[in-house]
Amino acid sequence: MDDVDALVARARRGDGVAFGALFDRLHPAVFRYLLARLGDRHVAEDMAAEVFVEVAERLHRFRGDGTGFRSWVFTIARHDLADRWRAAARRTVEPVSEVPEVPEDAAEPVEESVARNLDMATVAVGLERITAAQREVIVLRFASGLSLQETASVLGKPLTAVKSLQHRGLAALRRILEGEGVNWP
Amino acid sequence: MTEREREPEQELAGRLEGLWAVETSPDEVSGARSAALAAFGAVRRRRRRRWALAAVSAAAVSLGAVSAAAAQDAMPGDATYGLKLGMERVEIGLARGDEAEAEAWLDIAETRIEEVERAGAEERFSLLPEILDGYSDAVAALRPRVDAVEATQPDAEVLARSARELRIHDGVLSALLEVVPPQARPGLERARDATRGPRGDVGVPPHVRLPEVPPDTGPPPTVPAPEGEGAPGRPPAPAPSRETAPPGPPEERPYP
Repeated sequence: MDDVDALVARARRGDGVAFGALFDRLHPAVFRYLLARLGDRHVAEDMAAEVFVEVAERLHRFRGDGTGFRSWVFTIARHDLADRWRAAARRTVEPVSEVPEVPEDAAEPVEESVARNLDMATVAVGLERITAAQREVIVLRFASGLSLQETASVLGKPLTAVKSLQHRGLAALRRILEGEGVNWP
Repeated sequence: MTEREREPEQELAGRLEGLWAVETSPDEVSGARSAALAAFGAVRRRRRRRWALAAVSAAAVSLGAVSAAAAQDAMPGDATYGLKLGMERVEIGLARGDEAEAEAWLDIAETRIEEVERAGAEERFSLLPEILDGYSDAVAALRPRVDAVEATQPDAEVLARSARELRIHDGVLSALLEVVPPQARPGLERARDATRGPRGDVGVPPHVRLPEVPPDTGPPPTVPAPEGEGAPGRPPAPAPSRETAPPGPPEERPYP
């Protein structure tokens, strides 16, 4: 991550080209992280944009290297998610469920089908039912595409802990999805 | 674990990867990139302006640029902290109009939050009361100016920036509440209340009525939470040490 280290240092000194390169490097992973958590592509795109505006506004306060920077960006994304759900829970104008529901145009309504395919909304709900640590590992690994070592660095955990969390998280998630009637070949 | 036992997990992992392998549309990426770069540029201009004001203030009291730079990183108790506060007063004095004054007070609130983060990271909790008083004063001065701008310029950038920044400040203060000694908590809670304002929340449109809700509410509990390590449904608390470092020479240099 030496080049990210250099980009972060340059961006903190006001180099817009370096900041743009950091955006290009991290935006896809952050978008997919939010997509996995929200289960809605358009909301995830909007939130990813907000995350990077916040990164731009707070970069001058960041202290660390490239690895720490990536961890920091994902922390901002997690906080933005938490803020979104807190705000939704407080609104009284309309009860808003931020937990994604199965879309109306899903292939088959649940009540008409014994088993159904895996879809983003169902997985997003299932993710909220496993522990936060397991969820972070699964989403960073399989949505954002981080390696085990990169995931360990972002979360500040030992590699062995990340492997264990991945194993337990996948097992728990699979049980939950089976309970929701997801089809397994 | 045997290879056979791993198969269901690997199968799920593969399906998840396929499910989430979604590309954003080029237009969306371009729009997001432009917005982020615009924000980056705005922050850079604000910090240049503040540094220029600091240099002017330092010159007015016959101090050099080095002293002005050192003052910008000063914490309560440091020899140059008084100069830092003095430069902020100059900045307020030079602002003309509600929008400019709101920007200036928001800059000062931002600076106090940076000091809070640094005090927390360095465990210099004795500094918090003075910093938090300054933060609460800045937010108290900010709010009527934001209200005035909202009444006449509902699309002004400072309104969106104010909502965004105060929301971030709320998060910083809430996170610090989890690590400070008990005697520091009341001051932090007061500052967080100031951040949330009279409506009790941050950045919520005035027409939305808010019930009393515990501040750490996670996603709406539509399903029961399982047992396991950690607390399901809640994001991990931020690590202040990742965002700040032990004090050192100022890393920012004056821009040409």
